[in-house]
Amino acid sequence: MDEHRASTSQLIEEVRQLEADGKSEEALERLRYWAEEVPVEPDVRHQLIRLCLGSAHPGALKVAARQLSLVLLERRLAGVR
Amino acid sequence: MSLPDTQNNLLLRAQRFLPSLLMGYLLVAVLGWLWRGDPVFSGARLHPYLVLVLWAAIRYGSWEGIVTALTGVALLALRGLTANSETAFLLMATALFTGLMADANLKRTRRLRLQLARLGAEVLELREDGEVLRASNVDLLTRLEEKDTGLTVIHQVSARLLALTDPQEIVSALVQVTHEFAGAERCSFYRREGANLRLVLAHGWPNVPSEARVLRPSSEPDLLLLAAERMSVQTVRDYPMAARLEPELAPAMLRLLAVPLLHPNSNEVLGVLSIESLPFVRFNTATVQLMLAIAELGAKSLAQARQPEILAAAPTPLVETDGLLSANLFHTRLRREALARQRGAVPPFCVLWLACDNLSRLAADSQRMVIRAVELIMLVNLRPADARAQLEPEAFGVLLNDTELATAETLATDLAWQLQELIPLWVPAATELRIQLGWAGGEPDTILDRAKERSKLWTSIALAPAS
Repeated sequence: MDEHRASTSQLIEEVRQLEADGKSEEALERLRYWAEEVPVEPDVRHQLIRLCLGSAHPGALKVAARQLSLVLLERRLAGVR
Repeated sequence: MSLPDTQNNLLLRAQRFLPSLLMGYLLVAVLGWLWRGDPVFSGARLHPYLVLVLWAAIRYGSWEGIVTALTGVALLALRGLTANSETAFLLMATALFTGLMADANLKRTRRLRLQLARLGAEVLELREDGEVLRASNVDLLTRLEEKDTGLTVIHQVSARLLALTDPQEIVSALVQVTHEFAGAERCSFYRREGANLRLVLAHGWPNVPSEARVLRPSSEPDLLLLAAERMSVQTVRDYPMAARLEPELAPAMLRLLAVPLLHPNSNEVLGVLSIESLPFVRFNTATVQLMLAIAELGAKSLAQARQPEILAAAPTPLVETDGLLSANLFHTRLRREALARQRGAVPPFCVLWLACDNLSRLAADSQRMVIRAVELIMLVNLRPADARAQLEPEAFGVLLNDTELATAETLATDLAWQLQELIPLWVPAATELRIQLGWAGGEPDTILDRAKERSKLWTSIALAPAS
């Protein structure tokens, strides 16, 4: 778990750096990989969404939308509204 | 079985019957010897040979019965036929009568078996025909549904395009319907400028490279210029070498489809609609047909537009954000939807408004994040057919097609909860924000009146601090 959180923090830093360097396409690809290929904790989903909202790439909203759909589904399954 | 057959059949029958006959008579002889000391049962009132004859006639048929009876008569004749004449007669009569009855039954049974086999084959055939009909029925229903869906889509596209008179709104609507109904992730509209094509509006492009602003005829064939030159739809499937790779636009972004808009009277090329990115499953004949219809309707609309020179004069191509209409277009659609509802042409619709209060108090980055967060929540909760618009920098409107008021209220409640709970998680600085929500449904006049005074309908939501 700690290792997962550590690699998540690393991802967040990586994406922020790519965005700062103007490489929004690469940043989005990293986000998309994490969002779609790596199983993540619910709180990590919110971090991914936050990163997507901060991204300048127009495709970032779609990546965030998928994560939000999963968050809402998880909440519904857990019996939370 | 009991009828005269070929020699082979007779041999087979004899092979099957004679051992049984021999055994039968042997058994009777042993019984007679042990019981009466007379293996032939001479003079017996109820002769056991009768049983053998009955058995042979019923089991094998009339001929076997007769052979059994004759054998019995021959054996009785050894003891004197005169004394056993009644028995002999009984044996022959039983063989004939029972044998003929058994033959008739066997014939009937064989006939019934043949009929059953024939009926079984017919049932199998009918079952196969039934499967084929069922498959055809499903296929027909699917095609009818597709046709019906296609007609509904064409009707909606027509409603969106034909009522517009402002050329900029028409172009915006063209690109919007291409995105909404054809499912294009990236699409664009180019207007004709002599032999060139100049980009007017693009949707979903990350940027607008200079090479894509004006397309000029060159030695390399370009899908859009081909479409304009040939005045017919061109797809990358037909001309894989003609697809222009635009590395600046996005990795491996191709021109997938280009359809010209032809003036309905003069056939002059007014412009070209292009699709650069489309889900793989949507790249089919149905989408091409839909694009042809959109182009035809768009051309009709442009031909009737007032001040078409405005379109010609637009210097800078515009890139739309993902699916958000302008305020003007939103209100135009709202009025058109209300008119159509009054005529009874469309189902009931509702409108939802959303505004962020005190947004200006936040830093520019946080403001942008909040707006994006609202767009995200709307994107996840609304259907693609619901028209979303940014009415003001901090205010959004949604036209909910085919929605009753109760559904709109439920949706507004869900949106309120999500805005309240989720925005503070993503933008911690936004806890001082208030989100204003309003909705209206029912009679079109009521909706339009409320649209003018929507501020009176606000339900205010305070955002909860992130836990």
